[in-house]
Amino acid sequence: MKESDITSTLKEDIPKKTVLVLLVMAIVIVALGIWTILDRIGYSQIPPQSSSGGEVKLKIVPGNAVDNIETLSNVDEAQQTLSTNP
Amino acid sequence: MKEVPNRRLVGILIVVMFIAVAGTFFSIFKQSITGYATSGTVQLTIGALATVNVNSDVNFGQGGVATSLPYTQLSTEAVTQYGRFNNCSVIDGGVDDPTSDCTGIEIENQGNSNVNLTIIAVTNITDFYNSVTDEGANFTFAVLDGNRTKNETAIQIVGYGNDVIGENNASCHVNGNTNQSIEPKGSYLDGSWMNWTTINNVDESLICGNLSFVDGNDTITVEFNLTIPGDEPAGSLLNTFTFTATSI
Repeated sequence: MKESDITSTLKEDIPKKTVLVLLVMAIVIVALGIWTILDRIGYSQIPPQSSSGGEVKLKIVPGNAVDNIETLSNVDEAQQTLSTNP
Repeated sequence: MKEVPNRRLVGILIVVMFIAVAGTFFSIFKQSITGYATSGTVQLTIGALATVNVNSDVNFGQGGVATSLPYTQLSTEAVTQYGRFNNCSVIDGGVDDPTSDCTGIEIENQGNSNVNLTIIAVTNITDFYNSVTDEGANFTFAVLDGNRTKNETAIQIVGYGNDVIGENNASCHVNGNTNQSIEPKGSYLDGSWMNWTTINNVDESLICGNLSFVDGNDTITVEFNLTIPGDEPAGSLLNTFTFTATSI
């Protein structure tokens, strides 16, 4: 290659197509960077949460409550009778 | 105007891309650093930890419904119950099972920051009972400051409410941002008046706007009141409540 050819190659500017591709890449990279940072900030601002469960349970058995109360009072009376009449 | 050569534009774009990538990496790694030492000084950041523990469930035990009355009422605040249901005035007040407890659901803040606490039920009143008529059916809750044995906070020991003693001796303080404390408010520790509120399985209901994490002042107790319809058939009933704590 002649010295004049080398000089002219160096003097040639980069093609516009290359500049455009790099411009698009730069825009994408900057946009991704901003999105990543905003996303991280969003996560760090969520206050810590914790959940725990508690239960309320009961069992309904056959026979009504009044019957049960009467049964209990009968037992109490029987126990009182036993304690007063050993 | 002199045209900028493309070579210079490319150089600028490469520098911009490098700064964007470097800035992003620095930002990510900076946030994950929790401590570092420099010049003999140790710096660290303690992250807020929201942890609540449910210390007790409510087990009313078993019994029959009062068919001669319109309905049967059970309460975690009651000393005596219908039939052979458990005694809820003492811990381990089970009639048929002495270890059963129905003194309320006690929630303790075991984290390292004050929390906002909410409650939500899994099942609503209609789905909870198997009654055909659902006549008189109800399922309500109320909130009291302190633990379920009523001997934790100064408010409990003295025996008055937040309005008399002042919130500094309580577990549930006023949230400075929302101005909310215990909700529903106004229940008396001696159970003489309770602000019973219907359970909700749709929205989370606030029960404490600012629950302290300091030991000895870090619990609240949720009390329950059930009204069972007269035609409720025999069988087991269960409702689950989810308590969510958010660090404030």
